[in-house]
Amino acid sequence: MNKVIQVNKKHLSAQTKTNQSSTALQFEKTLIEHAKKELSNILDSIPLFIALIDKNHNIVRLNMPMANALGMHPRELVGQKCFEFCHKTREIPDSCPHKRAMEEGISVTVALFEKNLGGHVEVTATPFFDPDGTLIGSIHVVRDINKRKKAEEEKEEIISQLLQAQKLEEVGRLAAGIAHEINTPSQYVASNLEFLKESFDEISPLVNSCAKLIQATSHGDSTESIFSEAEKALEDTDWEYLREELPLAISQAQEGIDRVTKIVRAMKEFSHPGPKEKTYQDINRIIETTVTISKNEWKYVSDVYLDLQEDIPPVYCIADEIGQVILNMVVNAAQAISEKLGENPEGAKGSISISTEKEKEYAKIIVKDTGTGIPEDILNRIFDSFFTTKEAGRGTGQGLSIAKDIVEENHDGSISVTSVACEGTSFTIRLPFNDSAQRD
Amino acid sequence: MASKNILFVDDEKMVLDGMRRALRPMRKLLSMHFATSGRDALGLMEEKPVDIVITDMRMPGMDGATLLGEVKTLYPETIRIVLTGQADDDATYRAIRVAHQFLTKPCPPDILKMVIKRACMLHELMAHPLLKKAVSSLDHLPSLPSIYVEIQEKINDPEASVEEIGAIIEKDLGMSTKILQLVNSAFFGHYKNIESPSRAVSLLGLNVIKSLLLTLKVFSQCDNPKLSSSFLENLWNHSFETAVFAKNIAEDVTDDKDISDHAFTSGLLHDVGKLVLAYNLPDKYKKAMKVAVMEKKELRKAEFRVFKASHAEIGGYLLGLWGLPGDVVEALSFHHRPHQYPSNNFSIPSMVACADMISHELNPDECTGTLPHLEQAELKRSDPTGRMEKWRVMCRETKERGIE
Repeated sequence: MNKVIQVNKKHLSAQTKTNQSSTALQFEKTLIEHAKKELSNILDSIPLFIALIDKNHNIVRLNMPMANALGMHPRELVGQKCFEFCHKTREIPDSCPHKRAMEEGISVTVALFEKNLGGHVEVTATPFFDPDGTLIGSIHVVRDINKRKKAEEEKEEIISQLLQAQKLEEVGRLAAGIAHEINTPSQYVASNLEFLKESFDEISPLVNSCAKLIQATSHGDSTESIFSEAEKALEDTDWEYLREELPLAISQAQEGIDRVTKIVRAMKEFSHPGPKEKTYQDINRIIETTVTISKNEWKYVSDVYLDLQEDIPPVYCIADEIGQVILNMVVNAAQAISEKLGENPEGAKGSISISTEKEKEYAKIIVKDTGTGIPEDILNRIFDSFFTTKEAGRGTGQGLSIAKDIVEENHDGSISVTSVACEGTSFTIRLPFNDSAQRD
Repeated sequence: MASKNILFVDDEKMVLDGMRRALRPMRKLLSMHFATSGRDALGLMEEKPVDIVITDMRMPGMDGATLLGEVKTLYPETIRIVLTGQADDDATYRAIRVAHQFLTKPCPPDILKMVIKRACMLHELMAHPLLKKAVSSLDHLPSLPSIYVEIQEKINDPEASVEEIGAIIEKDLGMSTKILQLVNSAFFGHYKNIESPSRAVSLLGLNVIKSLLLTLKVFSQCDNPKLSSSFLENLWNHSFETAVFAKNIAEDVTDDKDISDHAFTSGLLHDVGKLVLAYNLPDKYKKAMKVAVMEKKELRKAEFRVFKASHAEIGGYLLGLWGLPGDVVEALSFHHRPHQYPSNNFSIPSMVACADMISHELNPDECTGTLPHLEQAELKRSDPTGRMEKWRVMCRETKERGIE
């Protein structure tokens, strides 16, 4: 750049010798012309859209790339209202950064979608002052952010796919466990029904002969043979056994049906694609449902204790997502315990306790286990994507990272962890009862 | 039948309570015991002998497969049954190695009763004092061939491919040649030019190849110079023919591939007891054959006279010890008296019985003693619509095709 000027100076110095007085002014003029040309060359060669807009939104100057994008010559655009050509509107758009830059005297950046400017763009309006320091307009610099936008959208898409994949993985894992939880009670319901059927066959002759005896007695023609028939029927029936077992058989069959009903209902609640929007939800119920459907994951290694505050207010959340977070916590807890005690411990089991409590405007959920604990050196990495200490096939390492995303990004809450090696881990989740907008 | 000691193991006490009640009608046949863990079950078995164990799969502490593995080692004559609510394949595979029978929860009570009745019969056979005496007089019971165990292990590996299983067979050159010879024979019908064991496995199914392998191996284990080669050759030809016929018959009456595979295996092994008897006590076996011929008896009756047990029970006993599927063990034990087998319909023992009879009818010269015959009761049950005639024609065609 300087070189060009120097070359020109050499060229000019030849002329100055012939006309000393008028050439001084001429020289100044030429210099200014050159500087102007140089400036516009520079502006035109910058691959950004650059425009100077005055206080009344009139275009004062703009660079070639921007004029090209609008499909006109710069000359045609100078003096025109910028919003009429850039946004094809007659009104100043709400998003206009110029307005705020003018009002507040600061540089304002906005991201917007404007197809006349090539799609997703980021516009920075920087206040422009004249030599006196008077605000006379702003310089607009428009950057193409289509690539960045696309990358962001792709990332979001990937995260949402991961979320879905993780959920499917959990559901797949749970399916076998749920089948087991249903098949077991079904077995003893069927056994007890069989017993009831057999018992009825056993009792029928007794009742029949008793009825016969009663009828005969009431008619006054009871005979020895009718009596001994009833006596024999009583002998043939193991009534003492049946009297004791029948009520038990009935109550156990009922209990079995209750168990099946409970798990089927919980399964429906868990897997039913609930509202994708936030609604007010009973957090305790979400926890109970999740604990029920995951029973087969924890029951061999642990007991689950629930300490849920009864009158806790409803939480504004996506039930589906919070259920997934709780499920992650419970499954992780059970795995941590089985790592400590072995897959099928004999005797002592571990414990998982889940509590809820109102804490100011937050619902505080604590999930605590007596598992292996998390070593201090990896404690701050457990929420990272794909970080896992589990053997292959026991999880993708997405669970906690997704839990954090759901709680913090989607619900404006927080999740934290404390852990003591060999003693256990405790996760604390805080979810605001209300929407952030309503809290403000 | 003496009352059987049956032990139910389940960590869910209510499942045990339900069993106790549902099986009350069988109380004359069964003396029921209950345990809520694998360890309790083993403790209880130390105290008193148990004839049949029915266990859940997943339990705290020792699981069902581990328990049955222990039982198999400690009490090989105990009949081992799994009753599981677990739906995953992994559990199934692990259990199948050590269980005679695999049932899933919820198991309808009538099925459960039937399975228990069969288990009682099977145990009765396995524990029969005369049979035990006969078996204890045999010094060399063939062992489960190691190549079979290796394949079995491979099948349990969910990652294993057909090629890998084929490779195991290929390692044994002699075996591999024999198997290819068999599967390329016209007996199997449509296939020709099967060039590798893995191709054979994918065309005919692993069960068929596996049982061919097992039987060939057992035959080669029992090669005794005192046995004439024609005896061995006849026995092999008859076994193979019976297997193919039994499979044909099974396919005619059912679409269930497990049943037709088991019918094939049972047919192939149905006379393994003859082999074991003849191998261990060749002179005594010749005597039994002579008795059958001289007195115009069925060979099995002559065997009874000489050994106090027939090849059917001995073969069943051996397969029971090896832990082959209950269906196959029962089919072997009952193939000469299928009418005594507790079943509601035409079952594998009947299929093998019919196949055996047809094979003997087609080769009258090779049969020692009189042709085996089916009890009228069994014929009636197996053949209410005159299918026997159809099967005779079908099997004869198969045989003719095989000879071509």
